[in-house]
Amino acid sequence: MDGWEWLIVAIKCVVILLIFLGAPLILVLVERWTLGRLQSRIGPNRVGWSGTLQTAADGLKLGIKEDLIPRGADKLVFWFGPVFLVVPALAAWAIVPVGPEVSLGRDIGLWAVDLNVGILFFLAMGSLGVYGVVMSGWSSNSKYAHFGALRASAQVISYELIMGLAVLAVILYAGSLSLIDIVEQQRGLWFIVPQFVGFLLFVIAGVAETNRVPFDLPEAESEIVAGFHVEYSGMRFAMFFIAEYANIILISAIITTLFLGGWLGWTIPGMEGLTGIVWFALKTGAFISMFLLLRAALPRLRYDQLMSFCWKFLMPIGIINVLLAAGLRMAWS
Amino acid sequence: MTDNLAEVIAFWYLAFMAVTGGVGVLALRNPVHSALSLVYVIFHVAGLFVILGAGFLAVVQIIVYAGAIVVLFLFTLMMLDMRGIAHERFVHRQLWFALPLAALLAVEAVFVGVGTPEVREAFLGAFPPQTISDLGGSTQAIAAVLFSEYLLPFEVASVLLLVAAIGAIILARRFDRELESMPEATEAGESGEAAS
Repeated sequence: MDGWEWLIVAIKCVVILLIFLGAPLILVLVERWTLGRLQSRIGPNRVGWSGTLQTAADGLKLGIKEDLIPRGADKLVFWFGPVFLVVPALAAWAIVPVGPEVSLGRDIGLWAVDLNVGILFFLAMGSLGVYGVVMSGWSSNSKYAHFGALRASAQVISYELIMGLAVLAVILYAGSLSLIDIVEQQRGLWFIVPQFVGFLLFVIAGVAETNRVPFDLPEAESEIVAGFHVEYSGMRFAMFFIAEYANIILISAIITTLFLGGWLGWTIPGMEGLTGIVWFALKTGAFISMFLLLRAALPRLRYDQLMSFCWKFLMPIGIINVLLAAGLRMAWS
Repeated sequence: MTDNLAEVIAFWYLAFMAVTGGVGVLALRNPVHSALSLVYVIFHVAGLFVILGAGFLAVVQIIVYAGAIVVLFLFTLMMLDMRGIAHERFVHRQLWFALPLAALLAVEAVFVGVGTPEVREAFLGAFPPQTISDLGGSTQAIAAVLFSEYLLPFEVASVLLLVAAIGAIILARRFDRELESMPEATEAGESGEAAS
């Protein structure tokens, strides 16, 4: 690698970091507006033009608040808990391709790295997120946090399997673990068509993995106050928010990549890079909106419903889907 | 294998950190800290796989061990009241049993490392980088041997794991004699368990 390549990698990392930190700020605001409208109330409208600076003001407030540590807490684990939630979410962005390869003097792929085990890397990072939840919940020395962490670990392990089964069917069709190859394989037909069942499984598992409504049992405010992050304050509390919204964006981006052809779409000749990014952003945005609307529309499941839905309903469907996909693939080739 | 400096530095760093984490697993008094130390070891071993060019093994190492097994350890540890356990040393009871085993393992490792050329060939030479790239990458290389040469051991291992899982479920279920003799009560007990 020469100097230019190092510079390009550095620029990509900075861009990913900026999106990672900036997008949650916008998304929190959009979510509060949406929820306000859907619940027939006004929502944030005071700070800045129509409340546009509300998240910035909240961030400032959280930044200057005291960082409380509960008595009897395991300090080191308590400090590192939120970090373990944020870092995997950020690391997984390294493999998301937001556009095709463009040539600006030299060929630059619009992704940070093309791992030949890309999609497995995403699953690995997803399964690591649970450490942040478990560490924060256990170390808080609080029964609500403890319950939240227990629920989260059981939930994430269970739905991780469903996600894995859905991904497996896609891999069977694409014949590659690299996300760039998976997108290129969808030039003829997006994988949502042959893998509609897999798509539904992945979306359900994605909602469960991000602990969002209707699967937000780990932070059910009516039962266990706020679950695993009940004892956190200040910037550490803000880190939970950044991680949650970053995970929503990440899951939406992965759904787009696996099932909706990633950056593919109608292009203007010579501007493939730009139209690719626009297509990718539009498709990802659609799924992010779905996450926000789900929160307004659905009630929370009961805990035993959540688990039996996963193991007794989604799991058999996932296995049958993989077997069918394998059979079709064999017949096809 | 290219013997460049960066790789050597990365190896020693990862190996040192993995061993440090391993000592942490044994020496830390709080079982949760030990489990987190184990995650630390797993990460650095995954790093060692990466510098060996085995990306698939590295990622699977993280998914299976860090993502599932140690999470289950933590899950179990969180159910226990550890205020008593946390002040007890973890090492002392098994020390005299573990030392000979560790010594045996060390001898084995040295034997592989400095042993006869045939031994080195058997352990290290089966998959030179050229073979792996001919097969299309480390994922394909693993699949090629796992589903041909080692298919039977692989299946036997998975059946063993299944048997162990079924055994654990049976042990976890409460088979009280009174419940068995009363069918209605058994059903009530089952639905009670499902709800908890």
